[in-house]
Amino acid sequence: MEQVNKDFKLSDAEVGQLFRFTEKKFVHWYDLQIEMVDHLASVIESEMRSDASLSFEAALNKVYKSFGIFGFAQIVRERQNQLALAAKKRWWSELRDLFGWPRIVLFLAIVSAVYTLSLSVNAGILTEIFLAIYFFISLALLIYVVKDVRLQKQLLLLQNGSGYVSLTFTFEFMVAFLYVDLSPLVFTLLLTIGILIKLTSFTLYRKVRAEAKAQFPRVFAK
Amino acid sequence: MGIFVYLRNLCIFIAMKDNSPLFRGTLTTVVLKLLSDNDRMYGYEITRKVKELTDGNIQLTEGALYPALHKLEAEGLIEATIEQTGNRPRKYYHLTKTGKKEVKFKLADFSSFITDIQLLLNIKPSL
Repeated sequence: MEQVNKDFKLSDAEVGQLFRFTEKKFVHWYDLQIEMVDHLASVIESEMRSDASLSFEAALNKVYKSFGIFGFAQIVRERQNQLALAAKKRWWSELRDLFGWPRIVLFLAIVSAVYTLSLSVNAGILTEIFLAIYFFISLALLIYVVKDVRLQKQLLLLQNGSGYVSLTFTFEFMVAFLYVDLSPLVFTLLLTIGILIKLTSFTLYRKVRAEAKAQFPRVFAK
Repeated sequence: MGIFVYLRNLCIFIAMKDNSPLFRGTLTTVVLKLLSDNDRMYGYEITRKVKELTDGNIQLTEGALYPALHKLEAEGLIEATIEQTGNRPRKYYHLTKTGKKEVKFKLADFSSFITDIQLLLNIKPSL
């Protein structure tokens, strides 16, 4: 007859072993690891409770097989896709917020101020000022995101939020390309939009980071 | 009539097989419904509950469940909290406000779909 141990629980060392196991199976991100480890551990505990002769390794093998031939790969891939989709949606809603009431008033005020200024002062200088602001914001965002590299390697959630830096670079190329032939006023307006897009990415990344910090304080504490 | 019996048996057979396309399409509805009946649940608990409620006929695979959970999370229908249980962290899911509304629509949609399929396949609901 099989031995039954109803109170069996995995030891700390065995849980640690499960974390290393997921790492070895290419789940590098802590936010996904904890879910996989908890699942593996729960099934292993239930298996070992009903059959005390079963070893930890044998139980782990059995559970991992139930994930199918692709193992964790499918779960990782779909998680990445879903996060990318969610980030895209949130990015647009952030941009909408930026143009929403009452910020739209601020935006229109800036545009009319730029227009009035361009009539009276040398528009060339205005362009230079906006260009400086734009690149300052770009640089700040880049530094802000790059200094989180360690965290991004550990949290899939955060790694995804950083993807929006590249998106806004497309806009920079466009601006640089158009610079040649544009009138300073149109160029300045384009840059204003560019700054708003940068600010959107910046706000989104900060929000995602704050959420990640609230959910995974341990990763941030290291 | 033979074709209907064959189709019905095929449907039952496919539905019983885990991870089948037929069941997969309904998986998000099932997960939402379970979460509306239970305040919060974690992945393994959901697989256990599905097995228990269907007398072991449907066994959710991890490869189907977690992508479904992550999809619902990305859509903002469910939210997750991390809590330490024993010697490991655990990710609990619960419905968001939008999720609570959505579950009603999905269930209404689904039950009318089942009625239509029963009519199409001539299956008499067992009462």
